[in-house]
Amino acid sequence: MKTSHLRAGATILSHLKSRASHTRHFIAKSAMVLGLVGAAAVSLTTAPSYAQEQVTVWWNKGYYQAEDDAIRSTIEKFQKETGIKVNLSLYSQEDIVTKSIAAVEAGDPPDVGFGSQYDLYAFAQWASLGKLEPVDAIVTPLKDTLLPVALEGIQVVNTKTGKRSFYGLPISANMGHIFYWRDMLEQAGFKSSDIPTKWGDFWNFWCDKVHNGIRAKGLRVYGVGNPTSVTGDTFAEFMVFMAAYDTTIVKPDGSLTTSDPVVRGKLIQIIKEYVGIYTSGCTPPSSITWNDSDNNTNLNNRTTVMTPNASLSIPGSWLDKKDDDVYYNKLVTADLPYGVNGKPFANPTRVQPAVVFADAKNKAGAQKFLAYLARPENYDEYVRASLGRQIPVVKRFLTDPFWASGKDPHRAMVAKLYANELQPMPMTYNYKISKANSENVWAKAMLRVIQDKVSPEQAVDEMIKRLNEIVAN
Amino acid sequence: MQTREVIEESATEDRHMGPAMLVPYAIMFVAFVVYPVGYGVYLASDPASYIQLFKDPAYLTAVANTLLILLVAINLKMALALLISGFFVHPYAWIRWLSVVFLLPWAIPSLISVLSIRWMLNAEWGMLNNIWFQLTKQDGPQWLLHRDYALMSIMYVHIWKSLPFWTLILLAARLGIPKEFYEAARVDGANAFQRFRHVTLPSLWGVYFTSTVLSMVWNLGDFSTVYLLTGGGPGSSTQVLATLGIRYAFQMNDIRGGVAVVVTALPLLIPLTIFLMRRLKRGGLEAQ
Repeated sequence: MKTSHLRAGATILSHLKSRASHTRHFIAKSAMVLGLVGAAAVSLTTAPSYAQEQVTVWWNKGYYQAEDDAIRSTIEKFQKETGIKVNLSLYSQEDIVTKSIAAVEAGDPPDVGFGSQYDLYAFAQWASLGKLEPVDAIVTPLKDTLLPVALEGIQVVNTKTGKRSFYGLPISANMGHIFYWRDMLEQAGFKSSDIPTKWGDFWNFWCDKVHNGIRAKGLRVYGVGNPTSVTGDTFAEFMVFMAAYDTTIVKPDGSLTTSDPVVRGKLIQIIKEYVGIYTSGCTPPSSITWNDSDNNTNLNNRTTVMTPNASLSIPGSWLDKKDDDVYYNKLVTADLPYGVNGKPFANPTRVQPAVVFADAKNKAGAQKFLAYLARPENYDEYVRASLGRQIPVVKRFLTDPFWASGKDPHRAMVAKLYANELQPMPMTYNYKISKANSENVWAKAMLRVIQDKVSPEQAVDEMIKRLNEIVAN
Repeated sequence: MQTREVIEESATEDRHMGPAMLVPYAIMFVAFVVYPVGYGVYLASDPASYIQLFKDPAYLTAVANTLLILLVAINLKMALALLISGFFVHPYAWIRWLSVVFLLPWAIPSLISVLSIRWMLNAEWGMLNNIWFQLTKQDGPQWLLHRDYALMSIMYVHIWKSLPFWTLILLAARLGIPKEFYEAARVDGANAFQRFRHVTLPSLWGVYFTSTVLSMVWNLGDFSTVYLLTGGGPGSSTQVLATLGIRYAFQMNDIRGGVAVVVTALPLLIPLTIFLMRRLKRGGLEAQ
């Protein structure tokens, strides 16, 4: 063999050996890097250190900074007293529902959750299907201190066990009120004392007299801001109308009443009346596309004179802005009129609970946290920080000077209203009504009449059919 | 012999190195594509979800609206993009500056632009109807309050937002057409329309058609335009499959139903995607 061949062969051999060595090093490094990445991934997904007990809390972010500060303050005190670390996450009203639903479906929820719209979209279903932990141990000692409607709103039958239990700690409540501008009412030529208490007269007053009166002054505003959309507060207002007509779609045993011709007849009257408010032109045409807070926005912008709303978020926003003239003088919180039969009716009331999830990692710690929050000093501090937006569920608030002294006219009205008879929302009795409510079958029926020009009778029949389909599934 | 062993060992290690370098990508692909898609298919595997879905009147409305937007809005948009790209191909400085302004709708985040348009179209106090009232002393059209107007508004916003991007794509394709073709056509006496018909259109047809199909695939799942502009309303009259799916999943607490809504788009999505892949592959082979 020639020397040059040998030299070439040696070079190749040396090169190949070097390459092989580099390759082995590369593979070894890759394996090491992958191993480190894998270990990091595993450590991120496994439970945190067990040196300190921890509770994960997802909480509805407040409308005002003071609310968030209040829950943080409660958590700080809880941590000092118990030594349990609380991992708090604040989410917006819409986000917390989305995230909680996804987390429950994935089997990885937080320990404690509180969303101010849980009751509309998820609470009853979760409780019925065993996705929540019963909290009887926390609620039962508090029974005598809670409003009866609050207890009804959190007591659900678990369809798997057949047992009725308390599935949440009630934190706040909402029910129907009306809000109006006193100065705009006066501009239309009327006083607060002119507002009728009879149902039909009440709506004629706002829709006809006030609306035309203010328009006669050259203002392009509307007498009533009545939500009529699938995505707004329509459901709450529809529940009020049903209560005013002394009718309901579900019995306490969960069965539907919609096969009753009397109920059907009343639903038709309700649809006619509600649609009549829209078609008379006294509410903004865009109310059929309003989102949750659009009725608030329209009233605050003074483009409507009156609007129904379930919480004190409207006056609360002015208190937050420190506009005393509006808060104390111009904006009024008032009661609904009497029902169609001329008597006061039981106002449908939402109850907003904090829950412990059944798949929570630390249920015992979660229950301790809720029990701590339920202590009067902690609960009152949290609810008061919402500037009255969150209405308490405890009986003592009816005589608490913070609410009932009369210094604050909005809170005083709420304390007065909550002393009357209240009823829970229908989804409390049958969780599938939550789905019908989420689909807003009531608003859809109204929009069938408004947009598609079907008769109220046909719209109600379609609504009943859809209700039956949803409940039967 | 030693050399051959080393060569063979080296070749073996070369073969191992390829897959080893793919491992990180494979892990990410499994974690972020295979697992979520597989879990989604599992969630959508319950026939009861589909039975329930087909009974919901809003579902058929959503299907019809989705198809309408795909067929009308996208084709209109691509036709406009084709025409406007012919304007931007001219090499003047002021046209180049204008193209920067033209790109702004695409560059601005949807949340800002679509919500602004929503407020402009407000029936009572939106900018458009305020101007209308000032001029006519009459209330203006109820833009988002009737299904037809609302759907047209959705299509308008979709076109306004994505037209700049597709115009850019077709502009780039136009710039690739050799100038000699146009010169030859001029010499043969072709007017502007004839040059467009016999030179531009055949040259751009492949890109135009592929872009149209790609836009359809992308917009089959368009959520933000409809959600921000109309919320699927009034009623559920402007729901599309994407918004209805989210509504089912997170407002009706029915995640399986929500995924089922989206899965029902697969019979359209998969053929479109396969068709697109074949066109791209054929295009690649022709380029070789």
